[in-house]
Amino acid sequence: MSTIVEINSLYKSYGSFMVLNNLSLKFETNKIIGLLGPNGCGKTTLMKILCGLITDYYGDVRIDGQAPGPYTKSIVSYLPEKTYLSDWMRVSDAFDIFSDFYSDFDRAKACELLQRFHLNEHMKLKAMSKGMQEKVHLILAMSRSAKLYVLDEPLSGVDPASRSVILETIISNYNKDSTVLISTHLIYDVEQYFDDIVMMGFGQLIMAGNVDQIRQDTGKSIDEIFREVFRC
Amino acid sequence: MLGKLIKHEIRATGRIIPMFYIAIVTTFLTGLIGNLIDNSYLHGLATFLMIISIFAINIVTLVVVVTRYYKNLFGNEGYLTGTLPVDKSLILATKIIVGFGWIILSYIATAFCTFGLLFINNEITLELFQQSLFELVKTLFNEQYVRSTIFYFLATIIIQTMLFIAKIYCAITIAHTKPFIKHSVGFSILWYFIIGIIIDSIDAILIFIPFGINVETGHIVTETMLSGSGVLGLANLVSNVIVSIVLFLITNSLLYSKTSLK
Repeated sequence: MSTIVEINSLYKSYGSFMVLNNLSLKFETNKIIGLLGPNGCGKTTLMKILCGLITDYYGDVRIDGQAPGPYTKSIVSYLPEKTYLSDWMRVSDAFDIFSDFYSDFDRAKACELLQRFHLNEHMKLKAMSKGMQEKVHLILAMSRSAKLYVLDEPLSGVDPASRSVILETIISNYNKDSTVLISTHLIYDVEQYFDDIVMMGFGQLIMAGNVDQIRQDTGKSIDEIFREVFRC
Repeated sequence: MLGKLIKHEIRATGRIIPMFYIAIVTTFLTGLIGNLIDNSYLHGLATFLMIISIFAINIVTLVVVVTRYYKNLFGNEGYLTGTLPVDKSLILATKIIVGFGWIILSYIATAFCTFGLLFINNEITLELFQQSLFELVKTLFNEQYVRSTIFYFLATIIIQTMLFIAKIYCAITIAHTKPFIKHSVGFSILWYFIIGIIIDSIDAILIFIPFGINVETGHIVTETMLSGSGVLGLANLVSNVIVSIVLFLITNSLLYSKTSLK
């Protein structure tokens, strides 16, 4: 198993607030990794750094051996918390952009997923509900055959029924030779899918390792451990 | 990749602006019909709309160019733009090329509206226009001072447009660096004025540099514009080109390592 992400001594602050404080991590290939932590612990910041959206940090970040840049962006598929497509766009416009810029984008697969969600290419984003727009974004991310999927809170703000559909879409569509990094608060719903977890708090690494091993060592579920660690 | 970026940039920015061009042509034709059928209402309406169009096309173009840069790089759309597997300098080049194109088109539309107003108000006839154009072209090729002045005027428009885009993009980008990002809109405006004041100060000094073009001979001369002997200053133009390049380089460098999405 090789390393897809290697982070050494990463620092990032917003004003005087240090959000990532000397963080060092490694993610291996062929794993589904849960990135866990309370609000404001730096999960989204870490993901933005991996995707090349935040550049004013200190430390060394390598994805497939390279610093974030055009190459790493071509192998990382990102699903941000926010919807980023313009209101005026149709779904087909978004597909056109992905087809033009990502050589690993599978348009046929995207159309198939659209049908599964009862959507079509001609629909305008403006005419869609927030939930529908989030599904379009998920389809765009999961229709790529990327080496690393970075999914920021894909389950937040959706009802339990949609949650299982989204999870099923992620699990059944990611490139099986790749690594999937999922940040979430809803640990109970997803911990069964994780191979590894990375638990962050106060800008630092609190716990990282294989889920089965952690459960065996502690005799507790990841959800229980999370509640214990971050109890107010 | 640059071609693909430009294609999508035109697609994104070209939804609103062309509507105004269609409106201008429609208004012009309405005015002509009003003239032909001697309908003063149509004629008056067309004149009014043509005047409005001159302001509208310029304002809308500026708003589209500025907001596109702001939203597409630093708003929610930035999550897509920032994760495209292309060099950031190509993204900046795309914004410069397309923004420049739309602004130049708005100048052409303004000129068309002005001629249109003269036509529909019978200040100029088609014969007179053809004759004037013929005379202008003839003079352009025969008279050095007309040729020099027109080329100088065109160069000034192109360079000033480029400088304007450079100032706006640089100001918005500086406002998205760490110290200013919390109030990025306010700081964008503030930085635009700060950059403008610096450039105007440089320009004020450069007026006294004896480097210009004599419009009557077309020769480069070591005289200032203030000498009063048909000399147009070149130092300002050259400095504006250099300043534009410097501002684009600063913007590019900040985009690479100093800016973040909120």
